[in-house]
Amino acid sequence: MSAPKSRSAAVLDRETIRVRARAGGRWLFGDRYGLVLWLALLFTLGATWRIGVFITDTYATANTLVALSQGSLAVTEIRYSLTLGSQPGLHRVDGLLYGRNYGQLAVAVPFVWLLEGGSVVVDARLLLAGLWSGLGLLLVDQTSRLPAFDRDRTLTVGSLAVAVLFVGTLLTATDLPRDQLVLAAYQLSTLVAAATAGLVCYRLFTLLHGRRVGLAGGVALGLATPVGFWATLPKRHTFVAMLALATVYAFSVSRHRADGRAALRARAGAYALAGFVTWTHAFEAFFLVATLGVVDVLTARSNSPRQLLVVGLALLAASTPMLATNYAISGNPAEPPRLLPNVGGGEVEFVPDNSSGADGGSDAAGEDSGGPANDGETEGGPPLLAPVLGATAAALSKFDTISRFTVGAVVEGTRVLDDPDRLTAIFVRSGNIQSLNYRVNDFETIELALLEAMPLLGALVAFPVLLLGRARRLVADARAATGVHPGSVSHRRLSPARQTDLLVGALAVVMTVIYLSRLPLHSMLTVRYLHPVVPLAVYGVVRLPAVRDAATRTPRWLAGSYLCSVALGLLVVLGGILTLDLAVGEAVQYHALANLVTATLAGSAVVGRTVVPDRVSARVTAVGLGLPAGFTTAYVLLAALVYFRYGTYAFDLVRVLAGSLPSL
Amino acid sequence: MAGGHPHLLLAVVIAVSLVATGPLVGVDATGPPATDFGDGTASVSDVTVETGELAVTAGRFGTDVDYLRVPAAVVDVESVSGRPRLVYVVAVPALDLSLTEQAVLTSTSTTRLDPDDRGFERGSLANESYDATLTVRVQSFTESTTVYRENVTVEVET
Repeated sequence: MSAPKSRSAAVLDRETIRVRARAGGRWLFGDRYGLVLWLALLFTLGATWRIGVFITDTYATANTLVALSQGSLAVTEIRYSLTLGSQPGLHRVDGLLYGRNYGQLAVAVPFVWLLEGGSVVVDARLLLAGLWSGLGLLLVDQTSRLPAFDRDRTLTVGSLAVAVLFVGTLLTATDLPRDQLVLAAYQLSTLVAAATAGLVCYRLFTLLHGRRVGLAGGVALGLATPVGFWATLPKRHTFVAMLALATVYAFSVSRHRADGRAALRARAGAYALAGFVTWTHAFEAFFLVATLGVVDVLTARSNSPRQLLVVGLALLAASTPMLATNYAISGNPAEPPRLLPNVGGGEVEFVPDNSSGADGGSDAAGEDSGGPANDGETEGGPPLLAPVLGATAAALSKFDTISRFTVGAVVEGTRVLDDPDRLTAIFVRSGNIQSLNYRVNDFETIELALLEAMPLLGALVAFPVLLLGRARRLVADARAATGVHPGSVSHRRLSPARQTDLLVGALAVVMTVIYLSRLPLHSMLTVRYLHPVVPLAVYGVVRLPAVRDAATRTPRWLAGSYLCSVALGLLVVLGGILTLDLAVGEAVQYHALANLVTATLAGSAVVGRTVVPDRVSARVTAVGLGLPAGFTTAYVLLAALVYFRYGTYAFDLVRVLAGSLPSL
Repeated sequence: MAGGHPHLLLAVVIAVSLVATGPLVGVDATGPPATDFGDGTASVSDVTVETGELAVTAGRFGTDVDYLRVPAAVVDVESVSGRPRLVYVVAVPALDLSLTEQAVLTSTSTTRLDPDDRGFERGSLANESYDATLTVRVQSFTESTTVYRENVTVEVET
């Protein structure tokens, strides 16, 4: 009697698990297209992965990850080092060394456990090959289930392709020391963040404009912007960019949902995602949260005490890991590691000067920045309250430094706005930027302007044209309808899409202005300080009706022109390298100029379609957009295979293939 | 199982081969890192370097820097034993500069060694010319033999 009963219970359990897994999958990926996009981005961006350190700051954070994966905030082992001794980006408190970006590192810890655990059974190098092949098979399986694909044929052809990749990788495999796996896990975590940014893009645009636009936007962000360039370079930028975009998505969902509870959940989610950035980079998080707060409160249907309490609690909960980490390290919850004394290495990242006066030439790294010394203030309090009071007092003591720094960034940033040469160097054309110190990179002019790194931005020239047209119509309508002033539309009654536009616009401006005073700067490569703006810029491009038109009406032309442009880009640049015998800086600038040409073509096509839609077809726009996207993908590929050499390729088959390409 | 599901069959094959080549079973399937060399030697029949290409010229495409253009060394390797490497060095002592390119040899082949050109701040090279030495060596743990050596004058043509 009991046997059939337990069998049915087991079946029920399996069924329940399946249902729950599907619900979880839907919550994460939206639908199967989202999952396929995510897997495809992981697979393609992972292909050119190089295990190694590209920017020296990574040594310090990678060593911090080693410690964190073993349960310690303090660095206990210098596993990765360019030279013996200290390295840029470490901070000293009470004789212990600490890293930074702990939030990003905490997310990377499970990847460390996955790789180190797997390497007990599987060789380190082949473990990576196995993960790549497994990912490929999952991609083949999920793609074969899409309605547009013949399942049997897709499975056969796809499995064959994966088999060739696996066998090729196995036959060429070289030893990978196990101690490289923490660094590999760190890179894997940003790779996942990059693919997730593409997925969030898909979900946001699908919500606003349907699946075709969603897929085009997701692919564009992953493969045709600097997000692809930074995917396996474990800096904070990809991580923050993904969370900023996810914040926008959650905000947009909160505006689209009619159900009050679901809307509130999404609204709280937006604050939680923005708040989580504090654990990685408090400065960027401050502006992200503040901008979200202003736009959200101004446009929300309700700002009832209950609603504000919920979003406040979400923000507090998401910031708690940051506060706890700061408290554990310095005794001050408002003092992130970046504000602590540096250990050697000099200034390598965007950190405030700890010295209280102006540039006095003193070594900021050597200054005592306060720390946990608050004995006198906490002695008299009740035992339970003492730590809280002490932490609050310590936090308040830092507010002056922090507020000066944040206000200074905005004020200094806005001053740059009246310097056209500087703005041109940051946003349009790099070449040899006079103010940059090229000595650190052997005089290679490898620092791109934003438009060169992301020529799809060229499409944005259609915005002023579009806005002008809309403004004219609005004024004409207002004049026709007596008593209605064009400016009288309430911001609370804006459509969900318009409210999202408002948030994206505000975030793009704020996240740009706060870094302007530091730009242009060496080792930015794609103006990486502006990386969180990249997905927001893709949003801007996709919101143009002419661009959406190309994605919905002529998707085959868009995809076809993109693929042809990748091939054309590779041909033009590799041909240039071969025939002109280019050096690294020359090749990068040659590619940058080609990108600017494609940006101009994209701008012309989109403006043409916007102004004279009868004369410029959607196909022309599709080709115009495919060109800059394809040339950027070519840049992402060649950066990994030809322009920049460091570390070892994760997959030796790619190493062998890269060896056959022309060298600089 | 695998009739209509080749991906599942492949997944099993991959999993089995991963475990078989793993630390627990111990079939060694990986070679030494591509840049690791060891004992051994190689005989070289010919080394070709277009020494006329060695010059300082202006960078193009808006780079606005000067480049020391370094020619590639094309080395015909007649025989290889063990795992030696070829080392190509372009040295300009007056600039305290030594550009190196290496390749580990595992079989007879024609190997191309092409160091990156080297950038300099525009106009920072004061001389009209510099003396350079180009060498190609076969190197291993047990030997180091110079197979090519040439003194060349580098003209500054900017």
